[in-house]
Amino acid sequence: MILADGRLDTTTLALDLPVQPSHLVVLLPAAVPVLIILLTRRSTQAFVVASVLSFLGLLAPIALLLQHIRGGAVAGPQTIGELPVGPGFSIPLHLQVDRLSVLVAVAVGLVSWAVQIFTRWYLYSDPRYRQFAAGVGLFTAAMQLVVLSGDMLLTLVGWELMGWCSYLLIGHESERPKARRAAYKAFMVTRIADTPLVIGLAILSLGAHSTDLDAVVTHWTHAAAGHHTALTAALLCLICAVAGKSAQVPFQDWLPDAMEGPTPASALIHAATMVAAGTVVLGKLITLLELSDTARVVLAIIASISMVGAGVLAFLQHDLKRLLAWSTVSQVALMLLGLAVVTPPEGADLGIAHLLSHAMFKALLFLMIGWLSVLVSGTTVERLSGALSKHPACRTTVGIGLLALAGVPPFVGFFSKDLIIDASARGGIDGDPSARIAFVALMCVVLLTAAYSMRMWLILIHRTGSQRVQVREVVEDSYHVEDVGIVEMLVDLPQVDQHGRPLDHTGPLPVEVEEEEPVVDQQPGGGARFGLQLLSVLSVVGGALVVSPMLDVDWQHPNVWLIGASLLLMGAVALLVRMMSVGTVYGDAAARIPVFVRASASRGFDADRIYVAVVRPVIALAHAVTRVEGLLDRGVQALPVLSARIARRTDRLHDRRPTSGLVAVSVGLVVVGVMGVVLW
Amino acid sequence: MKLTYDWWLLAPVLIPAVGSVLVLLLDALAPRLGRVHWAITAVLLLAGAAAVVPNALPSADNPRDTLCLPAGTCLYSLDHVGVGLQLTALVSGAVIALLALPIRVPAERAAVQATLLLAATAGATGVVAARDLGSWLVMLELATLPAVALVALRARRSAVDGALSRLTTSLVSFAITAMGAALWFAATGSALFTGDAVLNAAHDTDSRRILVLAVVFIIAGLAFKMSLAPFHVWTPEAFGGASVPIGGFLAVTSKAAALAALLVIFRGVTVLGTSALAAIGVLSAVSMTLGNVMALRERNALRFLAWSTVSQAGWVVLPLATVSSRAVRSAAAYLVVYAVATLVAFIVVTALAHADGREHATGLASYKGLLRRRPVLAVTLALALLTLMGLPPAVIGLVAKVAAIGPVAGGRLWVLAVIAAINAMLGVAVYLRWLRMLFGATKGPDRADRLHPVHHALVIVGAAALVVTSVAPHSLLQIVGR
Amino acid sequence: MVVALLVAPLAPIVAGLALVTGDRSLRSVSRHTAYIVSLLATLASLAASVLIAKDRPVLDRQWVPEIGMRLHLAVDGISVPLLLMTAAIGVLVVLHARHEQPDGGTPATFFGCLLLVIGGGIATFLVQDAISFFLAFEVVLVPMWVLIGRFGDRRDARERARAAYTFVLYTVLGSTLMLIGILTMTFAAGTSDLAGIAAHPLPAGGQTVVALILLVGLGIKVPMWPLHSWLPRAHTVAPTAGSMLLAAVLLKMGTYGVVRLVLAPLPEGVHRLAPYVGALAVIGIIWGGLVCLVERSLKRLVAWSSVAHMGFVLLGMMSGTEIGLQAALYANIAHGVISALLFAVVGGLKHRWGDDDLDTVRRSLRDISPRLSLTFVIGFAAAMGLPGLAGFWGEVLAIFGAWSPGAGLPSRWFHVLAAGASVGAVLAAGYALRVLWVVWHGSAQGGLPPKPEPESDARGNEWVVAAVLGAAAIALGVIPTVLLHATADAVTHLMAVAGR
Repeated sequence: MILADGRLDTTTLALDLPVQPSHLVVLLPAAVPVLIILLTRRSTQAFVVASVLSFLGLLAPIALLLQHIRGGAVAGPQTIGELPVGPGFSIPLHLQVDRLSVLVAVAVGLVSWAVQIFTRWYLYSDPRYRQFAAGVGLFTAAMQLVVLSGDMLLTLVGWELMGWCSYLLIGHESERPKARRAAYKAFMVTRIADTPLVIGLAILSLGAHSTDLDAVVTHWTHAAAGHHTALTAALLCLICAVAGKSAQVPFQDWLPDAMEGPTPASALIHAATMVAAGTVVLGKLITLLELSDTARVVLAIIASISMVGAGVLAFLQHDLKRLLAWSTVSQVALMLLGLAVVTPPEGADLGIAHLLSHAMFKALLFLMIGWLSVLVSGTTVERLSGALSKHPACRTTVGIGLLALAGVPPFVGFFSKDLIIDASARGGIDGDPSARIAFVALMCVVLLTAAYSMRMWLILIHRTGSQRVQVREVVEDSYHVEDVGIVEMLVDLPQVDQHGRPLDHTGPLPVEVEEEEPVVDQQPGGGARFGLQLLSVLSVVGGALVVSPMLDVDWQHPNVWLIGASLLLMGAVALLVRMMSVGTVYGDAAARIPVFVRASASRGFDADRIYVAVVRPVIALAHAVTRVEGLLDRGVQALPVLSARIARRTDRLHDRRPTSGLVAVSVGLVVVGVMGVVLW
Repeated sequence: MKLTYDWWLLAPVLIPAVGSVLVLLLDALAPRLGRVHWAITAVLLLAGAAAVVPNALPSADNPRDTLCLPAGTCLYSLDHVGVGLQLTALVSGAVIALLALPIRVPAERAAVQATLLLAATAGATGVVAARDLGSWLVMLELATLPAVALVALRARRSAVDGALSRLTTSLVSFAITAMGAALWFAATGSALFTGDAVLNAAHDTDSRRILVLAVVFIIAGLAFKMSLAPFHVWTPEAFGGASVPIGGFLAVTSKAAALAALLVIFRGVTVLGTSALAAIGVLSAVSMTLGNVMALRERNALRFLAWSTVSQAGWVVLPLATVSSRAVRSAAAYLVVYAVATLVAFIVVTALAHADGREHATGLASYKGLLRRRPVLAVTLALALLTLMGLPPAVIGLVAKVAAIGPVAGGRLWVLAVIAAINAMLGVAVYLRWLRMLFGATKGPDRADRLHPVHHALVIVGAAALVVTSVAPHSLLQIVGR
Repeated sequence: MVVALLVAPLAPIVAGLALVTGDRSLRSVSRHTAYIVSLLATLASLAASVLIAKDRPVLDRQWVPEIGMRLHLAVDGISVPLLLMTAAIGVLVVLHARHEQPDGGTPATFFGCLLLVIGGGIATFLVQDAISFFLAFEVVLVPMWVLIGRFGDRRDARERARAAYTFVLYTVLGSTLMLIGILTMTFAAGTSDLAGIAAHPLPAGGQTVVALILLVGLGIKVPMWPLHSWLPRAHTVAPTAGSMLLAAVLLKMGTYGVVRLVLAPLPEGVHRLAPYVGALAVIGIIWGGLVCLVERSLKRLVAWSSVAHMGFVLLGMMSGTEIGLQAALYANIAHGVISALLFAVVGGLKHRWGDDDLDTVRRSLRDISPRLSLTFVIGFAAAMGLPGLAGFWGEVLAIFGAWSPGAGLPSRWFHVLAAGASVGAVLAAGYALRVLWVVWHGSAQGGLPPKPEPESDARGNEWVVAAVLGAAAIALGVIPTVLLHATADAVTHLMAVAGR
């Protein structure tokens, strides 16, 4: 029909309609919650809505991609029209379709679709499935808005909405105090980090008299010389907010707690949406970032610290889901470094490239760990140890995911990571401080990544594990709000030998629990499996993207020596980890590390306590204010009493004796007389 | 020496004056007529009011003078404001007479009371237009002194107390006023309250000083009659002691007389500029505040009304702290509104006192649940209180408040204005106390007699008056002119 | 169409007076009759308001020449949204009052007082004459006093009386101060017409004093810190319908008064006072947010959040920029919708729980009553200024406006204020999430979520009211352009007049 009208130009795929694919990219996911809340009452209906719309929500960005390749895409489609706020200032609120944003949009659509499909299986018996699906839809819409927005305020809208959605999804199982607290923590930490964001946006856009991204960039590139401090200040505000959303130091601690949410939520948050948003936003402003060395150095420092620290923590985690969480922190830091090390005229391609590859393999890994956790009902080492050896179906996919994470060629992780290393090496040689910082950190993190990937793999394929009843009882997911280290609980347990038999032969002999677990219907539906396979395929061949014209990166001149050396080191580290794991009960290399280290690592080195310590004075202040308020109120309420007292006093003067009246008269006369004479 | 006479113009004063004599004669001829005297009084006063009406017409030339000397100066001059005040005095007097009508008193006393009422009203009407020292003084005292006797005639212990305290203070104040008048004459050398005489006096410093004292003394004397603090001490006693209608008379008619007298002086003094009137501002602020604060803890309804008149007197003279013809009109306008509202309140109290017995109408507590017992009375009283508060739905009261504050704000007397604002708040607190009683569980005599038909009619009329004036405030305010 | 101008305010007022006085004195009125009468009256005035908004009629008649008070009714872009909101909220309030009618008096009195408040609000936004503006301002006092004092929380009679008195006395003081300012300007301009006053400004010296008096007077109504202490009391005690009106209508009268009586006619005065008032506004934002962090009574908490939100409105107005003023007007409407929604839902919860103490352990609302919890979440999300909901645009644009204040204002100082405001926004998130944590998530322990209990959920009128308000909150957040366009021209004109 549209073709008949000639609305569709077949060569450029330009669509002559008020509604562009770019609109659909945002609107289709946004329609999920609306329709679910308005139309559906049962989970099945909700699933139909969610799956259909999310699939369309995957097609829309693909269509947009084709349009863009053919050159038929509308560059800046309008949304709800410009906000009328006076002649001096324009708020166009339009979208912006460019190369990178389209690519990211596709990735987001893909991941969210996979997540929607997978969720149905994961939360099959959950009465709140509808809410969850709606939340995922809104989350995707918000992310797509950030990705495609061409306007500062529109970016802010999507940015805040994502924080809210993360709150909803993490707090999904709100029966568990841990989940409640994690949700609150996630939102508040990011929101506090966002405090300067509005100011930063205000500086940038008020300077340019517009919130249009292009206008802002052009204005500040010209004005940068004059108002360098203002620009730096604004960028630092933005970086602070980015550090919050992307869980960088010092805001990192909300992300591992976010593991309290259902695994699909984690997949969404980590792979495509929330944490990646920082990279997207900074990528849009990369031109300004390149203008301010201060901002770049700050960003590089933050990212490097987060990257290395998160790598260490990931290696020490006892809960493999949290291991993945920390690895996300480290990988996102890598993306940010990809933005921090580039120098003009290069674009944000490096960071975005890693964002894309990370989206693939991290979504894959999270969904797989979700699958496995359903199979073995738990995500701790004790649970998951040997999971793959019992469920070989998952073996390949998990392996691909881990290899990609470790950055082993030819998997996608290798290319994106190596490009960043190359860029930082080059920058470092040119004497760019931020690049030097980045390079050192990158060298460490390459090894760390290899180490924790290897460790996870070894645990998963461990042959003899997960057989001890006692452990089962102990490590049931703790409902405590404070995340007491599971590790301490374990060391008190009776020691067991390699095959899980207690060393002292008291107590019940281990029972083979696997038999009791129903193995049937323990795998997702076909759609979900297809989604997983698609992700794994992309994790393998996705590397081809860097050579495609879509990404403008310098891949022709790789630094072969560097690559060789890093691969060699990675191999060595992997071997070391293997050796460490030998002889441990669960094939857990980290078991060699002293308990107290692991314990505090599983609490993220107690960053949470610092947060609490920061909040406490605010609460104290609030109490003080309330007290002052009480005084103020009491003061107001005291006035009637006061007037009554005055009245009683005066009433004494009004005794019935006439003389008092005369006294009053004479007094009044004197007063009036004096006044008259004085004032005349 | 020949004077011009305009009988129509003098009629409002002459009718009650002559009427008082007639009532005495009638009583001498036919004693024991009792309440008939009140009826006659009311009729006479209404007739007087009717005689005023032609002067109130906008067409009437303004001011209208009579008793003019050949020199051209007139001893009796009536402008729109004066007309308004005369109407207020006469109508309120009539209403008081009607209120008193059903009350049983020894027959020989009724005639006297009626006479006194007529005389006082005649004085009040006369002082409005008096333009020379002598008649002004006489009329003023004629308007106020009979009130003492009226209070005393209830012949209860409390009434005598009230009368005594009023008598003493009134004597003092009379002395003060007379003193002021004498000083005035000494300063200006003329017995007329005319601006040019004052100007002549103002040029010379000594006579100027004397003039100041004169004004100050006169203001003080009038402040007593308006029961402005600190000359108010007699008020609660007199109100608490006198019979209810007489309280109404003190509250309305004599206040109108006092304001009229003050305005006469005011017109003369304005040429001197505002500083002479700072005293008025202070008096108004003090009496507003004191009246409200005292009323806040008053439990006796009559004394409550007394305190409310004290504070309202402050509002009445508030505009006079600035010099302008607008101030005069505003003061008169506020007085008119105040008179209506206060009369309605007194009507309700009288009706209730007559029906349920005085002890059931004097305590504020005895108004609990009046809305259930006697809805009509309650609604009317509520309207009156709202008018005194100056809050909608009683728009007329709000308009009066606006009129009173207007000149002060226009004259940028910020301190006085803020004090007025605070007192507006206090006033609301004061009257809400009473208003709150009307709701809630009923408490009071189980037997509720029917209202006396006269009272009932008056209540209806009063309520209607408040409603009508609230819808169209213009209808009431226009009697004091633009 | 001129008749619409009279119907809009008079239909509720006349009906209200009839209900209040007619009850008992003529014949006692049944609850159903009172409800039907009120519904018809409010619907009539809503229809009239829509007509007025459509083709802007003007009525200008002599009323009380003695004090120069004219009967001048008209609307412009600034008052139309407020007018429509008030009329719409009026209908909703009547619907809600049918669902939840507190005892303490006859139904006729209750509905009558509600109608009087609604009518007064509508009149306030219609009149173009300063003195009749004051009149309309005062109309709401006594009925609201009755609503709080007689129909308020039954648990504590003394607290009820105290709250009612505090409200009425504070407000009377404020409005009388406002009257002083009005009369001064009227006297100087020779006319009491708002446009006329704006056309003949006072000399700069006098403006500061008058602006100060007016801002203090109106600041009590808004309320502006530290003149706010009547608000939490009144809200805590007032019945649900009363709270909705108080927040959605009365507070708006204050801010509207600031626009009409201060910003337009007294530019120099505002210019001189803006830094201080802006500071008070920000203090109010942070103060309210902090109190909410530890407040135990849910209704009182919502009232405190109102204090914070009105701080944003004041800040936007004081920024002296068009974007700031637009933001203020937007936040004004947004707060009306949000707080009405919150009070409707929270009042319903208080009705169910018997009290509104946040420290009592309860089952999670999301499991017990889905509808209530949905509107509850929408309300608090909007209160924390979440994008896509009504609260967002006003707050963000207000901060933008404050960051670049009008010419001649100390920009560094306003930078500090803007930063403070954005901190206040974070506090808002803090307390909103606290409430959601306690009430919405509840304190259920482990296991699968229990089945919902539909019998305890919102039904009938309550659900209609909550749903409409929630939808309005979302609509305002998603499509802010409509409202902003409505006010844009009037704002530009006002800035032009004030900028002379």
